[in-house]
Amino acid sequence: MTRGREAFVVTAVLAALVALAMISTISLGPVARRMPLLVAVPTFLLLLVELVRRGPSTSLPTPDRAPAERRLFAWVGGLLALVIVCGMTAGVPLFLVASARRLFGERWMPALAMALAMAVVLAGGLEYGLGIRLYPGIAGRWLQESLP
Amino acid sequence: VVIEATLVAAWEGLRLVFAWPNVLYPLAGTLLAMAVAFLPGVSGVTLMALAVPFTLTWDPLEVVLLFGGLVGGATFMGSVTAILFNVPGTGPSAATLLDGYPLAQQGQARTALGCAALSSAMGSSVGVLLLVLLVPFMTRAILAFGPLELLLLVVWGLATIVVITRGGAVPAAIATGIGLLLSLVGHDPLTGERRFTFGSLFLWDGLSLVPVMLGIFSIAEMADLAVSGRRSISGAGPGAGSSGSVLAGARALFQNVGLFLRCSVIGTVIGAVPGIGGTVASFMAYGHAVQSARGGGRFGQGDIRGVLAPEAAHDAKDAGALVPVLAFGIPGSDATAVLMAALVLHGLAPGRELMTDQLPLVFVLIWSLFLSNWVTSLLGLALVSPLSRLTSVRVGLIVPLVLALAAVGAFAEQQRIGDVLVAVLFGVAGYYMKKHGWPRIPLVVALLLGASLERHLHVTLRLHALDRLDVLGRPVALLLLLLVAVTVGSSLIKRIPLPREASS
Repeated sequence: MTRGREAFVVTAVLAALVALAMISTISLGPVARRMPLLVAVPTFLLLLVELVRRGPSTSLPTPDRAPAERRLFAWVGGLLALVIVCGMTAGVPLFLVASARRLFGERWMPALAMALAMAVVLAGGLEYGLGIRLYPGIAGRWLQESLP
Repeated sequence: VVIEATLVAAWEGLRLVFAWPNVLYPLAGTLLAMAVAFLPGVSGVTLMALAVPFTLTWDPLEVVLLFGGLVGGATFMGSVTAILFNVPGTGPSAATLLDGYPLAQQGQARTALGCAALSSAMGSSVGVLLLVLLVPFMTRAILAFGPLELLLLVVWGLATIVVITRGGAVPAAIATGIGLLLSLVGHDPLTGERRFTFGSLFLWDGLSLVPVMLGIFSIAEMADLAVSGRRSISGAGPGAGSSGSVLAGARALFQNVGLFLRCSVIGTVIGAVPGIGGTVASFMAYGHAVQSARGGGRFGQGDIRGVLAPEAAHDAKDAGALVPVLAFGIPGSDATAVLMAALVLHGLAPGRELMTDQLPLVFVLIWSLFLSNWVTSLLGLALVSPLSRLTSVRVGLIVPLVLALAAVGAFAEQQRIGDVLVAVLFGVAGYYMKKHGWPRIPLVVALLLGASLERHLHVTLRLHALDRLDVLGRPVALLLLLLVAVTVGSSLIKRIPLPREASS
C-alpha cells in the first residue's frame, strides 16, 4: 500500500469510527445524546473534507516501512501476550531480553542487565515497596491455586 | 489591614518553613516525589494518597510541610520525559514537548532541560509572589467564575490548542473532536445512561487518560523510532556530546523576561480557577508565545520559547491552584483533592477560618511548595548532563525499555489488564496518526477536558432553561467570549492569503 493510499485509509477509518459514534447515539435519550452529537456531527463533516483532500491520488513515493512496522507491532502484541500469560513481574523482563536480542540484535549482557533491573523495580519497588499488586498472569494464578 | 495581616502571615509561614528541623519535611517530600516520578505509573498523586495514612498521628504543621514538598516534587519530572522522549509525564507537560522534543532531536536537550528547569523554578516564584499579594482579592475573584465562565474557559483552551497546532486547523479540530468523543465513553453525568460502552463492562468507567497517553505518545514514539532506522533519539551514537548547554537555556529565559512574566501570570490566574488545571494553563501560555512572537519564530520545530512559556505557566499554576482548595474547599485536580483530604483529616477545614485564623499555616504550604519547586529545578539542572545522554542511548535498549515501562505504567494506575490493551491499541493509532500528520496533542487534551466541558455545558443549559443566566451581566463571561473570538478570528485572518501572496 502506498503512503497516500494508507493516509486515505487512516482518514476513512477515523470517519467510520465517528459515524459509528453518531449512529450509536440513536438509542440514547435526548440529554445523553446532546454532547456526543454536538461533537460528532462537525467532526464527521470535517473528516469528509479531509477525505476529499487526502484522496488516494495524493500518493507520495516514500520508502516502504510496512515490514518493519508489522514486525514491531507483532512484538508489542507479544508483550501483551507475555504479560497475560506469565504476569507482569516475569513477562516484562522476559520481553526485554527477547526483544533486545531478537528484534534489535543487542548483546546478552546489556539485555540481561536491563531485564534484571526491571525485575527489581517491579518486584522490589512496586510490589513490596509501594504495595501495588501487579498482574499475576494465567501462570501466576495457576501457581497460586496449585501451591498449598 | 487585610494586606498587612496577609504579609505578617506570609512572613510567619516563611519563618516556620525554614526553621530547623521543619525544612527537612518539604525536602524529604520533594526528593521522594522526584524519585517516585521515575517509577512507571506511580504519579505524585499516588504517593500523596499513600502518605496520608502514615501521617495521621503527625502535627498539622508537619503534614502541611510534607505535602507541599510532595505537590511540588513531581511537577518538573514530567517535563523531562516530554523533552527527552516526546512522552509527557503529566497533562501539562504535553505543551512542553511541542518544542522540547524537536530541540532534543537536534542535540539541544541540555538547552531545553536547562530552560525548563529555570523557567519552572522562576515561574513558581512568580506564582507564589502573586499569591501572597493577591490572596485577599483572589478569593473574591474566584466567585466570579460560574459554570458559564468555566465552560468558556475550557472552550478557549481547546480553541487555543486547535489554533496553535502545526499541520493545519482542520486536522487539529478533528483530533479535538475525536478526543472529546473518547472522553464521553462511559456514562452521561446527568442521566447515568451508558454511552459508547458496546456492552463492555471495562468501558463503564470510561477511558483512563494514563493508558491513552502512554499509548499515543510512548508506544507510538518508540514504534516510530524503531522503524525509522535511527541509532538513537538524537541520531548520535552512545557517548556523543550534546551541542546545547544549560547556560544557553538560562540565557533564553533572561532574553525573554517579558514573555516569561506574562506566562507566569497566565499560569497563576488559570491555576486559581477550580476544575481547569494546568493543561489549559500550559497550552494558553504556549499559544500566547506563538501569537506574540515577532517574526513567527520556529515554533513546533525547536523554538526555546516554546519550552519557556509552558514551563513557566505550569509551575506558576501550582500556587494559584491552592486558592480554591484552601478558600472554598473546591479541589481543581486529583493532587489538590488528596491534599484537601489530608488537611481535613488533621482538623484543617478549608474556608474562612483557614484563610483568617490559620493563615500562617496556609503560607507554610505555599512556601514549602515554593521551596520544593526550587529544589526540584536545581536538582534537575544538576542532572541535565546525565539526563541529556539518554537521547543517545541505543535504540535497541531504549525502545524495549520504554515499551515495557508503558505497559507497566498503563496497568499500575488502576490495576486493570484491559488498560494495557488500551495502551497498545492507542499506540498503534498514535503511530499511524503521527505517520500521516494527524496531531495527537489536541486529542489527548480534549480527552482530558471533555468531562469538564460536558459537566459545565449541562449546568449552563440548565441555568438557561430556568432563566437564571444573565450573560450580559457577567463581565468575566463576556471577556472570555471575546478571547475565544479573538483566538479563532486571528487564526482565520492569518490563514487568508494577502492579495500579493495569492497572486504569486
